[in-house]
Amino acid sequence: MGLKQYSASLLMLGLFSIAILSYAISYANDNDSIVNLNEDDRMNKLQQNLTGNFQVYESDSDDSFQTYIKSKIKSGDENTEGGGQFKTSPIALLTSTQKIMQVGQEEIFGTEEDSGFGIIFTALGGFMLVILGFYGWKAWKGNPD
Amino acid sequence: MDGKLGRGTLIKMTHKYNLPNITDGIDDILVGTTSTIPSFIPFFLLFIFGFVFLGGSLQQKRKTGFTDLPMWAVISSISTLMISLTLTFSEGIMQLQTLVGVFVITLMSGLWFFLDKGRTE
Repeated sequence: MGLKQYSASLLMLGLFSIAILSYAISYANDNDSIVNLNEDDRMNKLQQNLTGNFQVYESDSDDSFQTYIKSKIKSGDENTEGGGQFKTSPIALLTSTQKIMQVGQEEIFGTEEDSGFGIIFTALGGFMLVILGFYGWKAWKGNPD
Repeated sequence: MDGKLGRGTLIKMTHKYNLPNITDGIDDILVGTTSTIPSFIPFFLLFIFGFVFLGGSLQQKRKTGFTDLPMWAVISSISTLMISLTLTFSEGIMQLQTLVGVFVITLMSGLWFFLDKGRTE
């Protein structure tokens, strides 16, 4: 994947995550839901992290947008900068992606404090054992498939 | 409740579970079922995910000859998330852990989708 595609992918991934997370939390807040994603510590931290990383992108893009819509500039008016949407720091993109992957890993595989979704390990481990058993049996019978 | 045991003999049948009580609303049936079988909602959501994922990808394979699995993973996980969010209104149906799991699967599907180097643009 080229650099352009890679950067665009990471940016879209960050925006996608912010959109989905903000939608889910706003949905719960607007409807006074019993269960709210904000109650989970990791999701709360993820939202703050992603929003913080993309805050600069948002303000710079907004500044650039002003250059498109303003048709006249009065003397003494503040300057608007163009190209703000291209100033997103690559570090911010990588940090966001890293945070998303970290949250995914902690929630599914668990940390030292809680086991996460231990069922995934159990199911995968059991499935691998069955497949290995089949391979062993076929090797014993001399009929590899 | 009575049952029949052949030749019209009546026997008394006892229930192994409590009959659902819908005095407080019809969603109490769902709440009662979920409290008796905690894995009911996760498997229901898994059914929705699998239905959209397998149905969509196999149909695409039949019509176009190839399947865009990351795209179908995102579509099915977002569908599951939408249904999970509507189940959060009543108490006792959806657990926070299940909702977090659905959300994490949505994020991972998005990660797979955006970083996929497949044939599709």
